[in-house]
Amino acid sequence: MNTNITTDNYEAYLLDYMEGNLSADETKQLKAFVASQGLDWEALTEELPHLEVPTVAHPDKESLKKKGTIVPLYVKIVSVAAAAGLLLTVTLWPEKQPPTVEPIAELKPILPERIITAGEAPALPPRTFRFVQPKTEKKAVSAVPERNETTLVAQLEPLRASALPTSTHVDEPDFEFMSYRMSTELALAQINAHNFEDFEEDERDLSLIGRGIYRLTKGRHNSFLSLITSGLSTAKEEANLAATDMALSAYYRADERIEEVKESWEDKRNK
Amino acid sequence: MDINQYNQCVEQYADRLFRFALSSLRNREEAEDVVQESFARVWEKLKTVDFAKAKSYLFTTAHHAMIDQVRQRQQTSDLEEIATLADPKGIPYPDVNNILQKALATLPEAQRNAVLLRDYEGYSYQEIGDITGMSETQVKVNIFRARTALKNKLKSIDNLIDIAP
Repeated sequence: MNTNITTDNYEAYLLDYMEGNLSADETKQLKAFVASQGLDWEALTEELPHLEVPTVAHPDKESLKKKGTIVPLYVKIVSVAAAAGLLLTVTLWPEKQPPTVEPIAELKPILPERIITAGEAPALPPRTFRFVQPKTEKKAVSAVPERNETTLVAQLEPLRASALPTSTHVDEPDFEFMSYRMSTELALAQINAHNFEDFEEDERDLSLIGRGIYRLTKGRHNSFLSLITSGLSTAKEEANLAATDMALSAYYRADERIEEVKESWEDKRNK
Repeated sequence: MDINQYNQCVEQYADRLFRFALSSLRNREEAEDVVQESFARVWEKLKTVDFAKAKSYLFTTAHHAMIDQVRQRQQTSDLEEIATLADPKGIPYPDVNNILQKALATLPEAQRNAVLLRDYEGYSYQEIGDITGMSETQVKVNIFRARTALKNKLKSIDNLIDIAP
């Protein structure tokens, strides 16, 4: 066997040798290399120390644990979509069913059970369902001017900072800490400034959302963009919790995307 | 991964992550921050992190968090000062290991973390490479250099003891 021992890797071979992982031939080559470099074989292969594992415990392990149960993604999606579906039904056809505007303080989450009933909705589209996204609405990442992204980050960061301490999980936004209007505006800013290519990266989740939206709006909406835009504009007017939920989720998704896009740009610049 | 598995991860790995971070950073508050951040990341990615790979994910995240901590710290202090910060209070190391732990603090970060992952967690060289972003050869080189430096430190202490009256 012809090993390629160099000054960059001979220590790796020494470690292998000391752990008994070198063949006789490799050992011979390693010794020859060490000699050729004028190094002291005996000194290099003296027994090396290992660290003893100390007894150390985290001071408050319980504080790291989580309580309660996680609502499955599908349930959340259906819940959000159901709420949005009801919202759209209420707001798009006011002549048939005028909306009742509740004070914000009295708004309650809309339970999906009130919306989903067996046989009410059409069958789900196939799992290969994809969002309808007009190509003109997409922008290649490389075509997005950097200043826009920088401006957006600067604009969003203070609001994000105020949001994050009480909302640490993308799927569990806490709406108590900020006004509904603020969250909708945040999401709108994100949506306006960013393409939707990022959503394709999370296609499995979005496919579920899409299917839920499709089903709960009885096929009227099969585009995430159209639904969330409707939801946002309605949320602005009505401060609706469900639409805000969608808006804030969109914000967090887009926020993560900003970081990814920034990294990809940095990579491109470095290349 | 579900919430029960997440809590299981806390139970199984919180102490080990804390030990890793504390031994590398030599600062309890920073080590606690690293552990908290690591578990927060897992919680955020709960649905996408495979339970079987949670440990590796946690240690990788912790490693990155520790690098950030050290970089922040290096803005105000140098490695020598970090070594003097190395106060073993509350860390029950035996004598020789106490010396080793202090010597550990003077090692370059890559060497220190590689040897900690090897000796504390028993990770393979390949796994350490996955966590730290190094090649397997780089990991071995770093560990060899770390052990050699620790050996030399022990030798110098031995010499001091030998010549003491």
